[in-house]
Amino acid sequence: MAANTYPDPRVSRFINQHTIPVQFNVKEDVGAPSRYHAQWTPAIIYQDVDGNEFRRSFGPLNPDQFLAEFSLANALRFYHSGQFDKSAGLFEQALEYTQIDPWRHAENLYWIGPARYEGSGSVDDLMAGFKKLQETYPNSDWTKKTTQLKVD
Amino acid sequence: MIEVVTWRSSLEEARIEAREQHKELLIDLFNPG
Repeated sequence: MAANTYPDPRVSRFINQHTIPVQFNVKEDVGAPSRYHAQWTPAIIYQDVDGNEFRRSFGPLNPDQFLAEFSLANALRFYHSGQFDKSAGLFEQALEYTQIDPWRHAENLYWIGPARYEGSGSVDDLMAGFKKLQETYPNSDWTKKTTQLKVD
Repeated sequence: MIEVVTWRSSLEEARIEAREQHKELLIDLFNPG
């Protein structure tokens, strides 16, 4: 990732725009894997300043995968903080990066429904988001979650 | 201008910086091989 992913200007722009990046070489800082409960590298962890974790990824990511993964992480950061309208917009923006990655794109489509629903209180918003996912990825595990939902 | 990623090595200093700039933390554990 040092050779190919981090030098990509889209990746470096994303990192610099949204985060302060910290790096630990596990050969030198041998306690880092235990501190972060991350025994496999590369491990990339997205946290707020209080140490609340919103996403982690194991294994190398190419630039496109990195942008997809961490645009989702950025949206989830606001969703799980209760800032639903902001997260809904970020999930929509993340589609630009996840659309080339079926695994993350399905997850991205899934979260648009809950983000809209939590913001508006309208079940129609939830179902509209889920419908798009069901139409796009009928066999995804994320789609299966939508069919298991019971709304009162 | 091409942006580069400037990795910090201190979590505590990175936290202070992140708090000041209203940003999150990206923590990368890597094995140089």
